[in-house]
Amino acid sequence: MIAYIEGVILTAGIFALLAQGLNLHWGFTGLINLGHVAFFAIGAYTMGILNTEFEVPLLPSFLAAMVAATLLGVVVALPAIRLRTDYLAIVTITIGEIFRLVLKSGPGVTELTRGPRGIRGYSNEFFFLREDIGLGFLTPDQYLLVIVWVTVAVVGVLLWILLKSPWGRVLKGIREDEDAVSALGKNPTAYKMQSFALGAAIAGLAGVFFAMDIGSLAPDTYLPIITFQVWTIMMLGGASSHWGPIVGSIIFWAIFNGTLFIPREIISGAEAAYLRQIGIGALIMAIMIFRPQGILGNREEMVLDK
Amino acid sequence: MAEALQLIANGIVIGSVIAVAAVGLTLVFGILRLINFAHGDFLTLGAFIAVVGTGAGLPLYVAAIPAIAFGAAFAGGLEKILWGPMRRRGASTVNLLIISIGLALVLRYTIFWVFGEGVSRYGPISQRIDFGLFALTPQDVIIVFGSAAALLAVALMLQKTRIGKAMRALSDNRDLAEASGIDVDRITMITWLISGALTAYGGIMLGLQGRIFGNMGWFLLLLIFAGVILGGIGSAYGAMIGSLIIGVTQELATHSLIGIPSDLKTGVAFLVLIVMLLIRPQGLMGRKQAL
Amino acid sequence: MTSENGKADGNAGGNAAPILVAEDVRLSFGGVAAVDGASLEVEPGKITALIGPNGAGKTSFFNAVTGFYKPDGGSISFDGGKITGKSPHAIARRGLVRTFQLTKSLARMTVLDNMMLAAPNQTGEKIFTAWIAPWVIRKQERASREKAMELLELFNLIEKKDDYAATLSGGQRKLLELARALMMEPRMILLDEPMAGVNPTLGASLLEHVGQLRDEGMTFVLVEHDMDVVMNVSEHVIVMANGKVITQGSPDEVRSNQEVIDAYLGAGGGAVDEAIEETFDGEKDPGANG
Repeated sequence: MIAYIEGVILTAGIFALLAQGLNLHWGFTGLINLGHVAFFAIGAYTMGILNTEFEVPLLPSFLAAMVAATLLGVVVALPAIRLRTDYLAIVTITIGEIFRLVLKSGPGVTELTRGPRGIRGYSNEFFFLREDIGLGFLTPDQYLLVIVWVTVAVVGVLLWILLKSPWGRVLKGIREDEDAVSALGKNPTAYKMQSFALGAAIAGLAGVFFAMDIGSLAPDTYLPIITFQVWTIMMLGGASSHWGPIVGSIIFWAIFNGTLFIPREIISGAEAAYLRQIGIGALIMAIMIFRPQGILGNREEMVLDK
Repeated sequence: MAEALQLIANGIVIGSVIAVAAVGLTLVFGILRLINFAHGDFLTLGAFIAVVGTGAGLPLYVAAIPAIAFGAAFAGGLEKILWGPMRRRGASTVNLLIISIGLALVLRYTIFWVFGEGVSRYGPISQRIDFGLFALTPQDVIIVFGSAAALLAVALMLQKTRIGKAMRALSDNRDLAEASGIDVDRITMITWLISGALTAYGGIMLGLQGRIFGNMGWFLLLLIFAGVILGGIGSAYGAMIGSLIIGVTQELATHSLIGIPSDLKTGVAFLVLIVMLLIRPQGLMGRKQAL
Repeated sequence: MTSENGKADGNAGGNAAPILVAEDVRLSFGGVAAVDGASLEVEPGKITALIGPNGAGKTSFFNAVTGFYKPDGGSISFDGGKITGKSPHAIARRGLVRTFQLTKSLARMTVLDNMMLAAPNQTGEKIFTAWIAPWVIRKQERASREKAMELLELFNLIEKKDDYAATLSGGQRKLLELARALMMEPRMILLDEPMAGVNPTLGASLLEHVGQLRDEGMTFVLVEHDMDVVMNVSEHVIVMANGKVITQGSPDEVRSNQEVIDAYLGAGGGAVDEAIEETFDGEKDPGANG
């Protein structure tokens, strides 16, 4: 039971970070991003490669992971950001898939990523560090859990400050009507770019923690289903709500991992896996149909017509 | 050269399948502006229903009939209980798009649950026939001609029948079509029925290539998007041409002179999709629109 | 240049340099010319009306001037500087601000936030300042809030300040759009059908504001279908048809001009043009009242 709760809270923290990034894109800026998993992946791989191949120490490789995710965000955003919503959805999911395919079998790239075999052995330094910072009494999982949730809190506060500021006001304006914002003398492209890059950086950081959690990197971990899970979490909690990603993530993972308690005599392990995916799909549909504002979202905001 | 010809032939085979599916997707988009992420799983569903028939000993051309009928009924049923009511409640395009992602997951993993993780087949794949310049299996030949027949039927329907004309009118300008007395709900339903039938048929064509498995349609979905967008979203003829180009491009990319690993060939097709959206978002056949 | 009637209303400050000069502006969609070589000048400190039958290209011309469409040809200068093909936000920052035919109030933002968004040169709109030094921006925010409240008071929207903009009536949204434009301290405002869908009381109040602002030196150009409005408030009228400027002059001159009458009558059969304008501008005009 303890293991279940720890597992839920740890994974929920990592996905809360992912959802915070996505919420910046969609909830506050109105940018649809179905390729979020690519930022997650580049964060993990940047850290992993730097640490194993080039023996870069921990903190710089963390920073590099965020920088790489930011850069990927800009590279994706540069061309894609002026596309209309449905095209942006297709382009982002496609870029995510291209990225995974390249990690898996890109000529030249696989020398670094080791293709489908993946990367291991980057996490030791991170876990050794827990003695040094006085957290030696925690198990590795608990230690990671603490670090992750501290990060969630810090990111949450930073985003809260930012979105309360005039910068955040411009973002919301863009979400409502981009043309109106440009008629008011603000450059929507610049803001969309910043939003995209910042959300990507947060996802990159989440990728690093996820890599620490699972201990190895393999391209096929980073399937579009991850993006869909993050969307479910964000919509469940309530898009454009500050607490939404956190609450959504905890509830999501409590349910998702709850299928472990279903006795094997009733359904097999494979069936439980299918059931989970069906559950995610059904949850997405149910939220969009019955409560599009999510748990914490503002009902009033939802019913207002644009 | 021989290699290139063979790759082009392979590309036309897969391009034909993509084209059938792409037309189904683009017809719905033209009328509802809905990008249906569950479209790939509609293909899988069609393929598996036919497996039930062939498993019971029916020849494929007989087993295809209930599969196609089911595909149509399924798509029509969803319009009745899901898309129609959601539209009437004023759900946005993005809401519907996200619902379709959820629907895709429900469908795909229900198929996995029912049919398992294994690979099914309609029957053994026959030896390749050497046509001189290239070699194809008889199944490949059936795919190409079967798809061409379906696409021809759609084209004739769009051009010659009243319903087809109404569909085109609705797709061109919804307000104008409504004002001129077209029964929008009825045409929408018919479009879904046609799209559902066509997609199930496309799934069977895809299954004819050999392997039938739970992810087959999902794996094809982005290629279908690529075909649709390359041709110009909403344009049925564009989707046909775009899909063939996508099919041939991804096969040719693996040519020994180009040397893209075959694992990456779909990536090449995706790249074509992205480049197209950036330089000419209206597609090959689409019209330029203001704002 | 449009030489005809250049002097028609030259009574007040007749030799003031024009604030907006458009020369031979062209804009087409898929081979159909929406603006077909339109040239005009706007004098500062006046209300100029831009009229014409449906499909004349008025809104398209607005869009070309304000950078929302890139013109295919011609040149546009504002306040002595060239603005042809510049992006909408750059043009707005120079002081040439527009409103929209279909009001673009930012629905899920409060009325006050709508206003404050328009305040120019906000330090807090830069991501790092907003983050690192939130207290730096507080003073600026207070100032723009005060200004916003003043304007809301003036436009009778003060009680609505905390409501979502979506809850306003059509007329109130038009007022909000004008008030919001004023937050930017513009030199010139382009109003695209300010009276469409506005009840008469609010309409009168809106026109009153426009008149007052003009007296304080603001320049206006408005596209309007209601001829009574055009004749009452504007000092100069420019008439467009088929993407070109066909004539201009004082309201009285234009009223009796045969070409104008012909243009409006001719537009009766212009179903094609109407369809074009509807398709491209998303507008549905109730029809010219001329």
